[in-house]
Amino acid sequence: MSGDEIRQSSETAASHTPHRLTARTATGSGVSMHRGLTALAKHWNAHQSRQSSTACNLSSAYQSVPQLDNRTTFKLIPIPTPSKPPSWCTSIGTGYDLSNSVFSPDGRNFQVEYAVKAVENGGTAIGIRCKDGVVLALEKLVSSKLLKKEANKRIATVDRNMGIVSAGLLPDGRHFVSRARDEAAQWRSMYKAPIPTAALANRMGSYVQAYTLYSSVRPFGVTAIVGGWDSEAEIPVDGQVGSGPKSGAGGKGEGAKHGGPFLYMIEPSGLYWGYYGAATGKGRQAAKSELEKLNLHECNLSLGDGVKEAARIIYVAHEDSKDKDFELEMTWISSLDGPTKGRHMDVPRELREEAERLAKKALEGEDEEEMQE
Amino acid sequence: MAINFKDGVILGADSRTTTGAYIANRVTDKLTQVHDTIWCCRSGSAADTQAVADIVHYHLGMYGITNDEPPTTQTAAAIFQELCYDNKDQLSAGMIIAGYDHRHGGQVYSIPLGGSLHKQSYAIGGSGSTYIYGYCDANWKEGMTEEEGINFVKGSLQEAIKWDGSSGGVIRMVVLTAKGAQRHLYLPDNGYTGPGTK
Repeated sequence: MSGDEIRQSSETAASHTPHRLTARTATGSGVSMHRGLTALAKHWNAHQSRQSSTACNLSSAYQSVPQLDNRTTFKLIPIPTPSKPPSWCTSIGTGYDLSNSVFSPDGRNFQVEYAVKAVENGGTAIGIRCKDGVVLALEKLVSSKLLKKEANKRIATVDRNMGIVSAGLLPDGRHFVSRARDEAAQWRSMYKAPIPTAALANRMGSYVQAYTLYSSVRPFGVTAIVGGWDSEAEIPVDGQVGSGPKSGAGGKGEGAKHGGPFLYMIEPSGLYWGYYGAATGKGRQAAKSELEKLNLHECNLSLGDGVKEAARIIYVAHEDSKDKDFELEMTWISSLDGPTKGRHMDVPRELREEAERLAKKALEGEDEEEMQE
Repeated sequence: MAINFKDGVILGADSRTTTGAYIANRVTDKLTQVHDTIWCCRSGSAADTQAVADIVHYHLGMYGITNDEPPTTQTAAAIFQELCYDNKDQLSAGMIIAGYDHRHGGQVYSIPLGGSLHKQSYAIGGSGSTYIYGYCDANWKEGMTEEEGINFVKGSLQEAIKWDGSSGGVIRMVVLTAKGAQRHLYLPDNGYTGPGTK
């Protein structure tokens, strides 16, 4: 990201005048912060001496105060802002964005916000919760023609019934998936059963959140979409012998539904929600507005149609970065009586290619309509 | 022992605890609650089985809170088995786990000494059980009513108490259904006819 972009984005944030820095310093809010501000003041002063010939003379703005104790204090006198402040004069340069575990005075964690920026550069990833399954799809941006087609899969299987697609930094995504697999395996060894999708999302949310707390780590540069099918059938405890009464267990509650499709999205802050349709990455805005048109909350969309819609939405989301090559990667998880029998797997190639053909056709159709107007 | 019946499960046990020939407790409660409608019958070392039940009780409580949904009988059985198998060399614990949940109805699991896990329509365990394999096999029916189930459990335990020197005292039962857990007590004074649930 260029310096100009940084300045622009941060100027919209609350302004931090030198005066506010004084107040912060006087309260002595932590050693590292203090050092940061001291360095900042030195930097500022150096800048002033370099700029002394400019129209706006700032050298009178600072008045050193003798050292009173082991804390260096300095006093800043409010002065007119220069017409074009140096980049570090905005919230970016205040020192509040240098470390995790430091809030800015208006309650933001800039490191997390930068991680979100990393996600926003990644290829679009979406998830759709259909009535009889879940579809995960990804616009995999191909960075080189030397990369083998359909290799280097980005959507991963976590447990037999669960998959993860992520947008953002690839290695971070891999680490996230690795941890998710560990969590699923740990659940299995403890409870002798597959982990429910909600429980995995909860654990991964906690894991990601922990990476916003410590100065020794940076937050995850990914937003991950977790899709799963929790079995609607009664499944035995792993390794159990026997099956109970031949006539079946007595006293079951009738009519209640169990299991089904689940979809969660986990952000770099650790925030996660359950969704009917989720989108992240570069084309998320276009993808979200397409997802909203599907009325997914009515739970009418079949898995077969979901696959076609997912492909189309990825193609729509790619419209804004048409110059880049991409591959469509798509996986699904159906109910036990559906095509994947409750497993997370790739959408078969014929079906995916058919969906891509329809997606391209739909986009061409849109163009024609526009031309007729 | 624990059995499946039409509306759920019934757990039953005598109340004798011995240290050698001495009856240390004649009114022991060997039916232990590990969650709202998941209970277990303890046999073997009192200390070991109490410790194991306590640990499972903790895990199930934690599970219910963190996952915002009550644990199933399977979950309980899995944790019991993990503990009993991993520590088989140190433990002398024979557990029967019985529970009710709306999704699976009543279920009975048996975990004998080595730490294997068996799903059964009914399970018997402990020193007195050897005397009642024939009685249970002859009298067992699937899909009994609550009254039939209680009579089956009571009849079986009466035989065990009659023949086994290490079994005796009162008969305790717990009935687990959609309505929750209900305790029963039958005293030897009146030939194990009551007071039942009163």
